[in-house]
Amino acid sequence: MFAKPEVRIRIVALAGLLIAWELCARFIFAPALFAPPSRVVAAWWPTVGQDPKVAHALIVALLEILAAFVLAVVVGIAAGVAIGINNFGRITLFPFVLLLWGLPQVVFLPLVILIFGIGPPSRIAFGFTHAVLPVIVNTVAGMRNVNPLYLEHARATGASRMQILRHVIFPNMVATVFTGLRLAMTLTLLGVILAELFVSTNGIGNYTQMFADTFKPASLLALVLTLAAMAVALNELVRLVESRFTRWRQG
Amino acid sequence: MTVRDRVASHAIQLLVVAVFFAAWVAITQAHAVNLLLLPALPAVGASLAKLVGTTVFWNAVGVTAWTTAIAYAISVAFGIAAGFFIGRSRVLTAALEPVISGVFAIPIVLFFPMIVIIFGIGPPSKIVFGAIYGFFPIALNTIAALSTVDPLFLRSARSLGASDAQVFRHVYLPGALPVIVTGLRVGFFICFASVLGGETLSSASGVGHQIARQGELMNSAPMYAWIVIVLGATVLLNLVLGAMAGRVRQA
Amino acid sequence: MIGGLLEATEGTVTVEGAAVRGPLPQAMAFVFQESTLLPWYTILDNFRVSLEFQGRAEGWRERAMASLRSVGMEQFAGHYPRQLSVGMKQRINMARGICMQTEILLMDEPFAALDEQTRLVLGEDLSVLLARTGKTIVFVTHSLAEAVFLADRIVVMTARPGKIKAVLDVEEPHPRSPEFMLTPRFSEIRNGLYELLRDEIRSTVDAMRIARDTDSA
Repeated sequence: MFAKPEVRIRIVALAGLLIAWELCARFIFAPALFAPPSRVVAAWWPTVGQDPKVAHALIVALLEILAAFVLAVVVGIAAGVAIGINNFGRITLFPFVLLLWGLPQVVFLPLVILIFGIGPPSRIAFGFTHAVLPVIVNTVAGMRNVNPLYLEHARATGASRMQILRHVIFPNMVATVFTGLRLAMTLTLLGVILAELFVSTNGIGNYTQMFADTFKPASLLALVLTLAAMAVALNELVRLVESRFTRWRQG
Repeated sequence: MTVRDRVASHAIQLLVVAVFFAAWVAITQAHAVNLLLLPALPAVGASLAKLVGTTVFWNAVGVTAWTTAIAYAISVAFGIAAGFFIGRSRVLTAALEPVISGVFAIPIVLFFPMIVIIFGIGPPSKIVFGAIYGFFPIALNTIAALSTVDPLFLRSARSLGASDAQVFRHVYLPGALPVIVTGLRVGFFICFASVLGGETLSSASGVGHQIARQGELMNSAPMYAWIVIVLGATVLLNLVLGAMAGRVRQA
Repeated sequence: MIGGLLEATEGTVTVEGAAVRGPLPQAMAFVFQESTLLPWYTILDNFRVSLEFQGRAEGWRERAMASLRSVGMEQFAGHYPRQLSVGMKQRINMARGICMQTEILLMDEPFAALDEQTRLVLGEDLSVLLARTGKTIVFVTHSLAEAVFLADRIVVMTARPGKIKAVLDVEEPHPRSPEFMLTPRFSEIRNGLYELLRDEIRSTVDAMRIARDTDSA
């Protein structure tokens, strides 16, 4: 496995980055501002592993992400089906979806906090609004991009409209939605974490603020990288689920 | 789609917009929702009118504008450079493209507190943040653009004796340009959104900061006014960039 | 038009005395040039769904397995279409068409995308199926040899606009063996077809030449 040039290049690149990080943090930046990997690793256990309050905040964040994601998928598919079910609906309503997609949603963050308060509901709401749009877009696309050959076969074989929806359009739609679920997860993460960082009393945003204010970059980075690892794990999970449900696509 | 369908579709769209505003007015008249969350439409209009043209307005807009501009310039420079350097080589692309898109899937906003510690609350932290975020779509699209250029054309040009510069100009560029332009457009809006996000999270100046501040002070009408300003700017920028992209395509 | 998927511009199509106005899944089954097996179902489930579409799904599992066995594909019942080659899929499509238990089977260049060897094998299979079931099969092909090998009656169409140019009968009983293709009768019919079509080919090529010359003029 290590013989493949791609893997070797990756290892070299990542090693180079780590070394650069270590040197920069040690010699260029003041220790109050930036921490090298060595200090971050050392700080991980006392900051994240041991402290039950930080661990609790991480779990809360995870639950918020999952809640927002599931909500976005359910509502997104429902809305997508409602919009895409016929041509007229699609042409009329889809432009609104695209309009919303292009807006920098972060400007609504203070408003969302005002509406939903400081706790988890506002974070779930903000994650939801970020993730629901790609799900809708993918659902609508999935209803359109059915291979006309399959529709022709169904029609020729005497299928009713209900049967066509159930056996031809719906499975195709599910497959397309699954390819969009990874993007949906990425955006859920973005929304929830943005909201957390903006204002939180007990959540991870609270601790990032605290570590920043008390100039503890090692602790801050330890927390941040733990969250990043969680994000990677969640993305991988979605990818695994996706490949399990689209097994019929693989040769 | 018949002409009648098209007209009906646009009519319904106008109806949706009209219903939206009518509902806004009705809800605020009936005091059904806390005025803190949904100010009356005229109040927002008045705030907007009072705001535009003041020094506060120009200060905020100015800061956001040149922060975005500088951040974007940096992300374009690094994005295109990295994109070309990596995209030219198939080995490098296979090795590094997955890493870059993997990192992009992590919410980079996680590192914003760290950036603020190092660069402070002022514009420089937003410039760094915006530049980093904007880098990814530009680099990824450039890599993708180069990998889709048919090696057959490259070989044929080289066999005719073309120099590297000529190959670049006549084979790479025209084939790769549309995808790169898309990357530049997406990169701009991501850059803009992340500058706004940074200003909202932690800043003393800029439009994002104004929105956050008005939210904090619970001045909903001015907050809505600022949101409208950003939405208007987004629509405008979309039109301008879209036109520019179209012109590049024809060139 | 026979299958009710296209509307005739003039005249009528009648099947068993009744005019055709739309798909008649009870009377006619289709096999298209490209595989229409739904990719998200296994082969067996594809049979089930198609029979459900038709509305006659009783005993679908036995019927499906029997059809698959008749073309030697029963061990792939649990596979997904993506896992099979084009030839295997077309064989299964053929089996499914027969499984629909209709009087008429419409096949639109079903073997066009296959290599020569697979075409010959599937042609033989079809001949056997024809002998066993006695169905009426309408088979569209551009291959002269295939037409002569498979058909009891050959309808030759002109170039655009397509009109019936000639009708030939082939008396050889089904199932036909490959040796049939070596007989003088086979060659006689085939050459006759070629003569009929030569004019059509020539007029098409002439039309193309005229178009090319007027374009460049």
